[in-house]
Amino acid sequence: MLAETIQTGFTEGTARASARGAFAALRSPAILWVVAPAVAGWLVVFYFAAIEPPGNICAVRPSDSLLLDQFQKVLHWTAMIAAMMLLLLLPHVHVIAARTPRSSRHAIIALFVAGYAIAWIAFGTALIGTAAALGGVAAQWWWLAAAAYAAAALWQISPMKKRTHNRCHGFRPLRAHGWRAGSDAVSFGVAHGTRCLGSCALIMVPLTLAAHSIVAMMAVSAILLAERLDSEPNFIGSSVILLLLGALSLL
Amino acid sequence: MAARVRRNVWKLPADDQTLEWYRKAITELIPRPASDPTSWRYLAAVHGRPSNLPVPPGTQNFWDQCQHQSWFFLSWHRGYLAAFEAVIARTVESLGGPADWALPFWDYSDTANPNARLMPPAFRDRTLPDGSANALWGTRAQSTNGNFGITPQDTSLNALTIQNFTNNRPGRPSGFGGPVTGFNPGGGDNGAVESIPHNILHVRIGGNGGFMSFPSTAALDPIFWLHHANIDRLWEVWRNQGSQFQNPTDARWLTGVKFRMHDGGGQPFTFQSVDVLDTTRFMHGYMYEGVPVPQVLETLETVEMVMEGSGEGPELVGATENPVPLTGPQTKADVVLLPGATKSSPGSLEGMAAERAYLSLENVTGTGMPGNFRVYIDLLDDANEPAFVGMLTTFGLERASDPTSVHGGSGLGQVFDITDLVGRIGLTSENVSRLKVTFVREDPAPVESSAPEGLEGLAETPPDPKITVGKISLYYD
Repeated sequence: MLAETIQTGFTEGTARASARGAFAALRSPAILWVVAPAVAGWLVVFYFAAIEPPGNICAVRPSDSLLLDQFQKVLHWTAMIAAMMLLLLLPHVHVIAARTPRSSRHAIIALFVAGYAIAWIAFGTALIGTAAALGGVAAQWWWLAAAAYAAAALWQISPMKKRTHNRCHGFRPLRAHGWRAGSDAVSFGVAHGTRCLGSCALIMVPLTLAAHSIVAMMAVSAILLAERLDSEPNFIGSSVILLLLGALSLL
Repeated sequence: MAARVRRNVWKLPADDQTLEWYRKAITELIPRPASDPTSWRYLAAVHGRPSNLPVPPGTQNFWDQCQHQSWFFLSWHRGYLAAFEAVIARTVESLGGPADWALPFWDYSDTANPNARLMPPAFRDRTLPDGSANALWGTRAQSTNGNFGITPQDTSLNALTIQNFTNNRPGRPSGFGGPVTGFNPGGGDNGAVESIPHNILHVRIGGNGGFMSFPSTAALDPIFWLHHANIDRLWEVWRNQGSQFQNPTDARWLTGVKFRMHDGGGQPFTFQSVDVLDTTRFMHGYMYEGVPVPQVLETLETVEMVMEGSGEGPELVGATENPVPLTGPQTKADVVLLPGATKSSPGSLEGMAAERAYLSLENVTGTGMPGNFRVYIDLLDDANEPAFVGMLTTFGLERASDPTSVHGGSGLGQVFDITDLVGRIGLTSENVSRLKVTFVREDPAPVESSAPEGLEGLAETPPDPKITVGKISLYYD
């Protein structure tokens, strides 16, 4: 939609029209509620990477308050999800925008994105809680990360992956009238997030165990984006990349 | 060798042997194992795999490949037909038949032929006069003398009047050929020619459980191939009407997706849409009898105008308040107009009048074979009969509703251009707040209980039919 809007601006042929088109693009729901949070997510992730000493940030640091530490990790997870997952919503947001009254597009898409984020944050909180409970085996994290990458690689080539991936393309009709429009947007966001968890959660686990490596995050983001945009995803290729990432995590 | 000529099945001379060789070739192909790419069951499973047919190893990228509700609908089926024709032609030749055998087409829209909508006689009977099985017979709806209740409306060629091939904006009709998609074995909006006559004919002939009613079994019926040869011919007719009728030039369509098939010798090959544009150069090459030659090119300005969409796209101005289950012979639904629309109805003197109005049926999901539905809109004066809008066709409904299918079970869609009706409906936010839509069910006919020899147990047993229209929307464009 962004590309179309920008293209519309340039084909009108005047600088004024181009500026108007670009401005309209910046105000579009996709930019405000998907692209901008994704960019912000990457900035936060880079910031964390810059201030965090090398090592496993999922391990409990004795010097920190446990609660504060866990809160920080949930924030980090949220930033990672925003960075890596929100762009995957663009095809859905494009359709939702077209099927929603202009007057409520921003609100509906914001609610849909919020519902989607709720599903992922709930999963991340549970994952971080589990990691904290297993803190005693912190010395083994790297091996666990490598094993998780191997499991994710196997998952990619399993028949279940294809089925759960297809579910991620599902679309539910959203009612357009009154408060039901908002509640449908949230519930569809949660349902869509849950479906995406079914397809992608196993891939996100090793990222968390392997200290949110920026390189690994960028590689997995590229895999997920290609999967979503390609009508015939190359699951074998992505499986090989995950195995390589697993090997790298041992170095 | 010169390109083969596909001829009108109803105009074949009395002593013509085309169908007789077709019958002999099918008889030869049916006993071959399903793992053989030149077998009848393998060829049919390329379109869709019957749920009762075990999957042999190595078929993963070759079976269940049919493209529906997609701008690849026409190009994929063209390649599929040519690959099929190559297998049949090779078999015909090996049996001592002519070297230039070509698939005939069934022109059911031929208004000059009073029998055009009847199934050609060679396909009607289960057995031949000598008592042997007729390989041209298939599990179909019950009929008398080839009459499947196909109406002139079912075989309408209105699709040929639509200039744009495709569309990628939700809310707008999907053009002649279908919406922009990736590899898409079903789900979403139908293009005009896919909806009518393609889908309607499938359900009319297949009835409630016959081969033609489901993508998973349709190609088991020998008439499937003549039906699709006609759809493929209509693509040529459409394109040759003038330069306004252009195939997509988008690389995503031309070369974006590769399709896999087997040739006449059972060897795998791939093709893309760009490969099938000239039928005389694809595979063995073929052309259609009676297709008019291309018209003289018109101005480039005209072409550009119809190829490019512009503006913000359609605006949603009304919708149903809840999903609409289609139960019983007739269902009524209210499309409630939304406040705050920036556009007024087409022809309105107030505000910014839209140029077009569309009625969109979205997320149509269900199971079984509920039949087709005639869609009407109530006119302003209750004394008037409701206005006919179009047909909601349900070929492929179950596949499109499967949550593990490529669209995650989002269902089918259908968009009708109702611009011409808006004035008669009197649709303004001032004097009407609801648009009343009526669905009239056309039940699928019961099917013959027996199966063709060698294809027993492959027909689907549809569950009780259920169908729900997720949302009915009104758009101004």
